Amino acid sequence: MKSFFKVSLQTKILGLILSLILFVILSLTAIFAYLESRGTEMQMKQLALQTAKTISFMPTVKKAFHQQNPSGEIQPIAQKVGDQVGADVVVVANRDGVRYTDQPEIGRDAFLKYNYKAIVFGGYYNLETTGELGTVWWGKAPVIGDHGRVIGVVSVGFLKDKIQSSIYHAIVKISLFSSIVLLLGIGGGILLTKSIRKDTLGLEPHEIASLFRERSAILKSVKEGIAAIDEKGLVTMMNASARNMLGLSEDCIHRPIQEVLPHSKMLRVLETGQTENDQELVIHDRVLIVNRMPILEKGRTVGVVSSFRDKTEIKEMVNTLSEVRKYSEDLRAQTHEFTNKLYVLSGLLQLGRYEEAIEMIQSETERHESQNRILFQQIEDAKVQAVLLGKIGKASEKKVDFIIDSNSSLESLPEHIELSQLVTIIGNLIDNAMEAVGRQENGEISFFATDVGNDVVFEVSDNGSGIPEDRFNVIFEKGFSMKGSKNRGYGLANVKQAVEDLNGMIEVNSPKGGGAIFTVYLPKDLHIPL
Amino acid sequence: MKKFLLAASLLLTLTACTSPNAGGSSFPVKNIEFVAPASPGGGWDTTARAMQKTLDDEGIVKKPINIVNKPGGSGEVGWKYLKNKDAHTLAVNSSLLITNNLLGQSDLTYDDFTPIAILATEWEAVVVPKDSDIEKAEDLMTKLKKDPKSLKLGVAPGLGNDDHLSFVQAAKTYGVEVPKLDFLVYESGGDVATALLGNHIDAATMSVSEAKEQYKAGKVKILAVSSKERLEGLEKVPTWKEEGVDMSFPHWRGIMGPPDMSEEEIAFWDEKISEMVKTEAWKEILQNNEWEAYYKNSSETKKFLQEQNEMYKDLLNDSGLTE
Repeated sequence: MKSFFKVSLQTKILGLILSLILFVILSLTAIFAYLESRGTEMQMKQLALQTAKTISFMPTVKKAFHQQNPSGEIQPIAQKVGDQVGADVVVVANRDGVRYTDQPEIGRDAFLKYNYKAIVFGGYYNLETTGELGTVWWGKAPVIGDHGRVIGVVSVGFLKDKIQSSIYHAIVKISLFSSIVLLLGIGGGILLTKSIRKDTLGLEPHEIASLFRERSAILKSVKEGIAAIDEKGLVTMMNASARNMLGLSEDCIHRPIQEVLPHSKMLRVLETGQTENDQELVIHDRVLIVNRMPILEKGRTVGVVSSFRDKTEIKEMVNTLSEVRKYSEDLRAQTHEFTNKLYVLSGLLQLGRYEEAIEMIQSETERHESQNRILFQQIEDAKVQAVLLGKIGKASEKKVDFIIDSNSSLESLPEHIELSQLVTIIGNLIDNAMEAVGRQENGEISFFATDVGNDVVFEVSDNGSGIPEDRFNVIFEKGFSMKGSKNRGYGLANVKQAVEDLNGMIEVNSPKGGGAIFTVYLPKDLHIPL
Repeated sequence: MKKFLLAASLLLTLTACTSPNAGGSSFPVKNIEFVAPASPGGGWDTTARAMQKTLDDEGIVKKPINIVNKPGGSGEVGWKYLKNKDAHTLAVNSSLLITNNLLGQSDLTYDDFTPIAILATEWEAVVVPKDSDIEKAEDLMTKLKKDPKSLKLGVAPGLGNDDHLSFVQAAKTYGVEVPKLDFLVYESGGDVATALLGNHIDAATMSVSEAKEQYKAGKVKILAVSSKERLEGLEKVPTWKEEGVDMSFPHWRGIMGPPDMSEEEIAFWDEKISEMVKTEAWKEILQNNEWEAYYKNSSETKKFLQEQNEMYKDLLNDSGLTE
């Protein structure tokens, strides 16, 4: 079955064309034959009747009936009129059946029977008889004499066989012409196939189909957005990733690219034919990195393919990486701080100032213990511990007071909250707070965490200059930064993104006296939103 | 939208304009015309005038009714005239309407008109001049059986009409060689009577009403009538059956309108004619003409004509000669 459908394009097209032409020719011929034979029969019968009438109305014929030798007058007339209309038989007889024309013998009684309606009622009519001559179509007309008397009957006949053979000849002629048409059809079919194969680069339809399926699968599988336009700038293809990135629906196919994407530079490539790589383009608040490439056919640009990635995505990846790096740096800072203290101790000991050394060790230990007690006893989650430890080190290096609220209590976090997300959320919030208090004396940051209830709550507050109320809306947007420099504004946007990924919520509060409080709520169960 | 409104309003105006006429309640709006497709004096003419008189005298139809005589072509001239008229014109008809077409003498047939009514039937008579030596129908048939050409027979207005058919039927039944009968054809019943009185023909076949006049005047003998029983007023005349020819042959007359009459117009005539046939005046006319009441309304007439068409087709094609 499969092999039947996989015949070559040429065979398929030729087969279809041939069977179509044959079907049309055969049905037309059949219809012609039917109509022709019906029409001819009607026409012949009418002609027979009219001819019979014409002869019967001739005064010469009427007069001849009363003469000595009616045949002498009637025979030539009947012959002539019969020849003119192509009638096969013309019989003029009197009402007793005596014939005045020398025509083939037909039984006298039978003839009288056929003439009955004309003789008795003066009727004009058609008749079909079958006899020695074969089937004959007759037209009958009475000859009306003086006083309305019926004196004879004129019969004009056409042989059915003869008419049918003429129809047959016509059909033969049609068949001849038909075969010429058929030959033309074959020629046309071959040319058509060649032209189609040229368009399809010599590929058979099933090959094209499988190529197309493969292409669709490939386009679907890649994360990059891919779009293509043709010579006229109409969109011919756009994969799902591209539509997602550009926020378009499916119906953008076959529409002009200017309509779909007013900022697109694909038309420029269509003009220049130059490949463009790694161009940045901002569409719908997203920074895209775009590659554009012309589609060439015989050196001519017939379209453009554009592929693009979301730069933001790449940036997020880079950010996460740097968070982790910062965390390790923080730890190094702490180590450095600790080493410094060891140097001081060693100095004091070498100088013999033991009391001061002991005092220093005691105060250090005390500080450590109270911080660590909260950190290790009340916050049981190792990931949060790790992040906080790093930040404590960093704060100490920056001479900022970092206080973990003594009311904090946190058990192990649910598994769906990942380290990278924690680093992003807590790390960024604390870093921001440190930035906020960095430029002032006695800067203080406090951290509070609790998991009482259905949510995990983190709160980071500082005593910095605070956030003006009119900026609450914009601080979470990409590109915004209180620090004033370019490309640093991803911190809070990333925090917000991570919080939303976890179905959580973030709140910001800036009291009149200064300072800012960021509170994050994360549901313990991802499927129960806040 | 504007166009649509315009069209709709136009349509409304048009309907509003045409509806009073289409209502037809005012039919007839002008003088009425009855066509007798023969010259005055014949059966068709008599029928038309009888209707005119009754409808007028009894006040059944208020508008004046005119009679138009259109002789020729065995009725064809009158019927052709009717075909192009409106519903105010009606024409008298008979079986010739059917047989003319069956004999290829006319393209018109009963289907081309609107059937209105069948009014009456009458019977056919065979007459010979008063001084003829033929006394009985049986004598006539015997003579024709011996030599079909021995007598000249008269008929009007054409071969194949009921006058002719009834005689052919009788002769065929008696065993006469029908194709050899010598029929002379005249324009009208009056012409046949004249030919008969002038001894140009030996016998004639005509309707009883036509024969009775000459018979009462003592100019002809009626040999037989085609009814089943002897007729009132012609008690001395035997039926064919009594003369040994087992057949009867009614001759009906009716009235029809032009093609495509509206239902209101047909209903008008159904009402008026059914009223007419109930009047004493009409019954008296029937009696005087030896006609028999045979009223059929328009829908019955339609069916009747179809049946008659089949019947005549058989009659005309049955040569009586075996294959």
